[in-house]
Amino acid sequence: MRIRSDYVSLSPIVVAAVLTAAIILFSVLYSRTPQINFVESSTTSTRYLADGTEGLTKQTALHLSKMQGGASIGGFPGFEPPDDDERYKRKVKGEGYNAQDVNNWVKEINNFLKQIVKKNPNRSLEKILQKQGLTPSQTDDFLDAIQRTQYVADGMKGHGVNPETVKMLESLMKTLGIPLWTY
Amino acid sequence: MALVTSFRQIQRNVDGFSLRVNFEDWIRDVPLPPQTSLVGFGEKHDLFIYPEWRFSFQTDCTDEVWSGTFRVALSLTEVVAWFQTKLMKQGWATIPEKTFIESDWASLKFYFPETTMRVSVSLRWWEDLKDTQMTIWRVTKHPLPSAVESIPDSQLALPIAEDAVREGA
Repeated sequence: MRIRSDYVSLSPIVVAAVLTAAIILFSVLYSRTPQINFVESSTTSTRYLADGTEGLTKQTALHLSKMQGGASIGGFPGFEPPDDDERYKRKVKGEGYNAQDVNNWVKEINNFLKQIVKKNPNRSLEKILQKQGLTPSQTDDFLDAIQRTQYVADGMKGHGVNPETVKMLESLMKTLGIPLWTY
Repeated sequence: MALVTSFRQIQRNVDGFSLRVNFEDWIRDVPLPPQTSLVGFGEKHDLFIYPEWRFSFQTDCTDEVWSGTFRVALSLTEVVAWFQTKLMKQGWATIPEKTFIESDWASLKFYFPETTMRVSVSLRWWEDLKDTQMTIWRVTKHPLPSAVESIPDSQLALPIAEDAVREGA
């Protein structure tokens, strides 16, 4: 009788203690888990990407577009210079950009690629674009535009493009599985 | 292997070296459409990127890469047709699964049968300039011979050492 009374009085305490311990354990484990939020791709429910990746690839395409006459890259909207800025228009649409422009644009591209790498470790850009639902043709266009950008930036090193900026782009390309040339 | 009359610049790369060559020295087995010129960047279009002849040392081979960026006042369709016809005549074969042709850009891939040579032609139509820009890479993979195969038989016997032994005796 005595035992039963102890059991009855202790059981809520034990349950509470176990629950508290479980909550603490769960919160500790959760805080140590990489904070990657996944979003569902519009194309299929089985394809997932780190949150924000689609925005980053879109931004990358927009900046790649500046060196491709404002053309659409990988199916993303192309870059449209402001209507009232004739000089900027000539730079983009008429390929009138100089080494300083290339330097600035490649730096911006590098920043977006860095964030893509950070959010999607150990994933190739090709896979990322495929998971975003890009067609093989659009994926090829996107990767091709990066290769051409690297090629032009590398060729302009002698004209004032910072070699470190080019080196950074090459390093990011390597991390993202983009060869300098396609074989 | 192509020969160049002179080169404009030599550059050391992380994995090898490259030469910037004159437009006239562009490889003949990947011909360019008539009236092709180098792309001129900058406000006055006087910043040129010269073709590059690059050697890249890989773990299992050496990549020899010829590349260049050019433009020609022809439509994208005309340039695509030109490359497909001309390169096929020269013995190149297309890689259909890696070839994409869209309304304002195209990516053409070719290989040369029984060799390790491949060509990648990236084309984009520039509406404002009314011309097509071409970036071309011709890649040849030169496999590394194995360590033993790479040493000629005549060198395996170490003749100098043998001479020294004979003289000593």
